[in-house]
Amino acid sequence: MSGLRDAAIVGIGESRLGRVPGMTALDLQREAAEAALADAGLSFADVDGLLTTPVRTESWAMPCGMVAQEFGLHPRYIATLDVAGASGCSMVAHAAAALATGQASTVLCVAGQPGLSHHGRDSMVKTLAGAGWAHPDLEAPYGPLVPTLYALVAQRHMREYGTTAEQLAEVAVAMRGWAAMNPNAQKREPISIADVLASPMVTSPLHVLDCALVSDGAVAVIVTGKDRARDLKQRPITPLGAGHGFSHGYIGEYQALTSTASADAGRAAFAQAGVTPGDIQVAQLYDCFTITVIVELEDLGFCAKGEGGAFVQGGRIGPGGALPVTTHGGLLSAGHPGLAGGMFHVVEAVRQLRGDAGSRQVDGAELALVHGNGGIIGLHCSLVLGRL
Amino acid sequence: MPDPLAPLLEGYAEDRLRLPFCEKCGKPHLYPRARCPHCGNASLAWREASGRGSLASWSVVHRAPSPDFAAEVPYTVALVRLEEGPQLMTRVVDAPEEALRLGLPLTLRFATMPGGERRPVFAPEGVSA
Ligand SMILES: [Zn+2]
Repeated sequence: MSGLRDAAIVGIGESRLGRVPGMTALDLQREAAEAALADAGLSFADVDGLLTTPVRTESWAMPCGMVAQEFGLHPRYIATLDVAGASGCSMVAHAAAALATGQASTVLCVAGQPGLSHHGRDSMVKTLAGAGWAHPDLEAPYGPLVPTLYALVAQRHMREYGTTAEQLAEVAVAMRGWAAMNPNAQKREPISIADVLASPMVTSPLHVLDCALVSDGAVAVIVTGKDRARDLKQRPITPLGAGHGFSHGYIGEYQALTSTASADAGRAAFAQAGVTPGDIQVAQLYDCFTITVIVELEDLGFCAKGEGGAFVQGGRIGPGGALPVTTHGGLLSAGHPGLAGGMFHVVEAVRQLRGDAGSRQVDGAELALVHGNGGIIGLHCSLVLGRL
Repeated sequence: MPDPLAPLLEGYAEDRLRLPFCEKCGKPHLYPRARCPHCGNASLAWREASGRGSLASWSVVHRAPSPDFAAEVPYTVALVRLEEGPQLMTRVVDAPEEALRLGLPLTLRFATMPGGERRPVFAPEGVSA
């Protein structure tokens, strides 16, 4: 029994991404939602379920209410979902659950904010530093940036497994290689490993180019029942497996450091789908920092623990590589508008499975893994999507 | 419910690092919780830590997260595994980055952070304050 497979992703949409002046969070979300509805051949009148996430650019007590009001929706299923960076993947799983339990027939999942225009990069870095990712009494007084919290994972990985700065840089170079083929990406000019290593050190061992962008943008996905999907415009893409994993709230007390609960999320998603990492043609992995991708490749089972650095060498996850990863360019190069960031990975997986990814299309993409990571590598959601 | 953090923070204000030991399973833990994370028991006894630990990871911060920290960069944020078992975030002081390695033995001292908080920091063993 799998109610998950009775769902289908039938519409995807992105707003403009990068620096998009003069747009509120609702403006951006409308742009993405309208694009997704048009992609599906649906309108707001067909939507009876709504999922969204909190934003950091508005003072909203009730994000789902603000978004529903903006779109004139009175959905019978409505929620603000927050599993941090894993929210994009998780919204698809929750939408499928709403369908399977008869609470909705068509769910709009939408998120986004003008993170760059509202804050600017420096201000956003400060906002994030004070946002509670570091424990307010036991961590924040020491002065970590959010990137510092991931740098602690990176440093340990390097010292424990011999992972090098060049191997971390390979991830950034691969993302930029994909972004160069994505017209909506924020950063498209090519970079080399040397460029990453020469970029300013933010918090060792992470350079500026090891860190995600700050962006304006929004993204939307429409999930409906398989029966309905057959009559719509696009080839339906099916969620075959979904799983979450959680290990810790604060990195300071997490002793395993380089082994994450993405292993639990991935194991659950692969098991439900009845497939293994070897069956996957394209992996859309959350890439808030270069180290994140290396740890996910290991914990999700694409390579053994400690071998992620060697795995990404030689352009293996970039264009033309053996395992195409995060083929829109990810948070590192395409854009990162807050909690919406990880939902672009879902949208890109759908494009790849439809065969609509243009010059970055992966040949024979039939099964995709999408992985979202939240908090300080403590909260995870994996989705296996298929062309069924 | 009393704040489970209060005994730790009160200790910090007196330059003391005390840990909550479970009165049932005997294990200490950090960060402080109302119940022992190992067995769920609610009775905890606070005892002085030895002040010895080893380096579990670190990062040298080059960009200040707020103006408070601007005068301090670069500084080394670290994770230290205490001899008693729990781990905490802290800083390593009086050690160049080249001298840092996993497992480096460290000893406790206290320092005032830019925000005015008195907090435990660590230095390599044998380096006097
Ligand atoms: Zn206990």
